[in-house]
Amino acid sequence: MKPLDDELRSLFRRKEPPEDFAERVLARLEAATPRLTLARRASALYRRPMLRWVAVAAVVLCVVAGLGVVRHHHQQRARAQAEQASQEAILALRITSTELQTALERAQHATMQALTVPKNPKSEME
Amino acid sequence: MSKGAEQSVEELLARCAGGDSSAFGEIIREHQSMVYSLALHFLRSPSMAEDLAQEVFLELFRNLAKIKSGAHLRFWLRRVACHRSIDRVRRRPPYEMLSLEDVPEPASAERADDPLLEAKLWRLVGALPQKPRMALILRYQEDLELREIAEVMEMPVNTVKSSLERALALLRGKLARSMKGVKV
Repeated sequence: MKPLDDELRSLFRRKEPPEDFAERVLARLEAATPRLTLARRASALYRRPMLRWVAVAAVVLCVVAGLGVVRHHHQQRARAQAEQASQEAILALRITSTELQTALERAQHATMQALTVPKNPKSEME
Repeated sequence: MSKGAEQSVEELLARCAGGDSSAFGEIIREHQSMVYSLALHFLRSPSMAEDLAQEVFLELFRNLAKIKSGAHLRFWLRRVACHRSIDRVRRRPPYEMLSLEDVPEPASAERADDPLLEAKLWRLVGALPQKPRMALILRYQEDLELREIAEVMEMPVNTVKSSLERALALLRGKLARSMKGVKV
């Protein structure tokens, strides 16, 4: 009987797969090719330095444009809020002014009544 | 691998990168027995081993750009075959129907001198835990050093060493008991 090492080497000697193994792998690869090719094409495009810079520029442009749009929206909203606040303030001032006018008229009326002299103050005193 | 063969693998890799599918076919033929045997010895099922080996080569095709040399290619194939085999066994249900092609072939001239001993060894190896079993296969099929096995299996060298020693001691002990005292 051989030593265990030799037995194991003999047990684990390499075996060949079925004859058409490589062809079967290539066929599976062929079936999966469109997806792989697209992915490889995209990565190959990205590997070109010029296109890489164009892609980076496009991304930067998109980010800047996005930020611009967001800022514009913010400004518009702030402007609308300011306009609404100013209109509300004008309305409040108008109401206040009307109230004041009314109060002033009442006060004038009351003063006039108070200052009016009675027709015959002597007889009244007697 | 000789320097010439190494160069030819690198040429094949360069041709693959240029889109030459026949070069990839040559790479497969060059390494198919290694990948298939790793899977076959671990899974003990020719159909599963073939399927797994095919998947390893498909994955290689998707990662060809990362392969730097012939040595790197062999390392990559061993590592992926080893990890995929262990994953496959973990996913496999405990009871499985055997297909006709999975039934072992009758003894042929290629088989070991002692078919009984070989069958016994297969049973014992099959009973080992997954990682020591794979380490044993890498050691005796691929003739790898401990450091190389540790790199392929992504394990510390000392762990590989101790699990190989334990596995061999276990095999020796069980074989000796079954052979009733014959020294192995």
